[in-house]
Amino acid sequence: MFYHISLEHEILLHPRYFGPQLLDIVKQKLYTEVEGTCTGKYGFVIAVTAIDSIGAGLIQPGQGFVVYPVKYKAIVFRPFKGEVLDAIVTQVNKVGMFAQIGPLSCFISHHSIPADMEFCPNVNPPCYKSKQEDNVIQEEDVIRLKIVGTRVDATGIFAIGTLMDDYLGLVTQ
Amino acid sequence: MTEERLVTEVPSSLKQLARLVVRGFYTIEDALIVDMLVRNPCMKEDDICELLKFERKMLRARIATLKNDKFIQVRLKMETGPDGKAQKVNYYFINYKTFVNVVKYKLDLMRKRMETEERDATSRASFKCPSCGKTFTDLEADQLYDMMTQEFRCTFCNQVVEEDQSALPKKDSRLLLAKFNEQLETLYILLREVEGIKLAPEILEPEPVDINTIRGLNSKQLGQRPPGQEWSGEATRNQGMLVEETRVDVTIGEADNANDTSALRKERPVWMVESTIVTNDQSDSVHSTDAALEKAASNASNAKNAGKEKNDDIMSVLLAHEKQNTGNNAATNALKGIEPDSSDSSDNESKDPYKLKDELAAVAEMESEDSDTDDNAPTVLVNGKTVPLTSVDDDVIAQMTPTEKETYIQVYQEYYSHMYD
Repeated sequence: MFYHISLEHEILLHPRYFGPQLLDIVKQKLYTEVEGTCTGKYGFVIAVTAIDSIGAGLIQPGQGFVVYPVKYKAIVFRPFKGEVLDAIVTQVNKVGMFAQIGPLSCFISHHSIPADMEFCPNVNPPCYKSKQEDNVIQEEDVIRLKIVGTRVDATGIFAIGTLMDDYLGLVTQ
Repeated sequence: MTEERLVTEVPSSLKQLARLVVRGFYTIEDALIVDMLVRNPCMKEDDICELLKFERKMLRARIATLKNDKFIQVRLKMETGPDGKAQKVNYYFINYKTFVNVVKYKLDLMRKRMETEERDATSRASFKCPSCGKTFTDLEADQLYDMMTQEFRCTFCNQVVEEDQSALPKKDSRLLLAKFNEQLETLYILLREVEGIKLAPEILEPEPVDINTIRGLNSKQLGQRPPGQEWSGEATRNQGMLVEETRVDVTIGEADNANDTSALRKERPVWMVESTIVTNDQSDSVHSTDAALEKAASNASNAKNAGKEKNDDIMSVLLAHEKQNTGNNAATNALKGIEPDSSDSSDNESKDPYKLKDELAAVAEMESEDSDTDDNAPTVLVNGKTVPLTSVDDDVIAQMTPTEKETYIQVYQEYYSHMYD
């Protein structure tokens, strides 16, 4: 799920950037440091939309570095168990398949793939195919999955999904 | 009145809930006990035993189960027995307030357990390293996956991991909860219905009911409704569970039994004994005109023996008609010289010397057919008397005997079928 929330971050700035462009550099550093990262609590930070305030810098004793506390708003993506999402298949193998939902990677065990779909290792690329051959899932395909579990680390989120529910599976464009 | 009004009789939804719950989750004996207590708010053990015809030991065991589950409550009372000694008597009743709470609690427990099961199913170990024995769940699949070899490798010893077959889910746990919700929907509906109901204390702790009242022997309490209460049907609804001795007498090995069975053996129907294909004149009333024609034709061919071949088919058919239906025709009779009441054509046919007369009669008939249709009317027997078919009305039909009536219907159909040919 996507959220637009206020977040805080501390920017550590080298003294060489001190000058008239200082605030721009702080902003630039914020973007590079924050966007694309992942926290367990808020999920993936997709984009910083606004910088609310850049606080007074604090010179670190003995170093000369300055720490700027920055308040900003960002769009974050936090996956939840039970959420239904569209994903792109990245890997197909006999134990299941991996799919990518933007920054989130998701594993779908073959137990969670409908029983009528079977793994075909001999075709290129390998795929999961239904007996009538009308439903083929291979790499690069868009599938709709439901998240059944997430593993949240301090630095990342990993999800496992299922295709065993109504309206899940290959998304036909 | 600021105070909430208390319900003074158990709502039927509550009763239904009680019955449904025991029916769904307990044995039939438990269901019967609860049924009994739903009908009769408070009963002693002996009475339940007497009415349900249960063995006391079994009843106690069942009641203990229900009591443990807090579905029924017990009240101990000191009573003077028939021998004059004081004895303890257990009275059982359903405290509906507790009952509803217990049901809610148990349903919640079930749901929780199912959710746990579902969660466990997703976090079960599904991969196992064969060399170091380390297990991994699906959630660690990303750590195991080796992009280069496209294999799952152990994070510890870098061996290829295997799927742990023993940890496979027994069934789709995700469907379990959905099924649970679907099947117990009725219970949830009933629980919602009884949500706001506040029962009066006398309902929660009902007074004992005498067994005779239950049996319907004492009907005096009927109509004891306190004044000012509307009739709802609840008071009389469960009345009169009259348990009467039903006797079934079985006598074995009596001689007349065998006789009875043989006497009762049903007569075989006619269509089983005789062929249903009509070969004679006994065609019944349902026969169509075609059948009548066919029959007439066959009669005619019988009648025409040797020397009659010169007649063509039409002639023979016509002839047959004449003989059957116009046997009493004045002209024919005059030529034939036979009795006017002879309606049976076979009689005529047997008299072979009149063959020529038959033919002549046919010719005469053909000539006069247009003019004297009314006079052609065949006759039927009514009560032994001959009556022309045209003059038969309802009164006459009423006088007929069953066989005469049958003949009448037959003749009537044939007569009119010819008219429309």
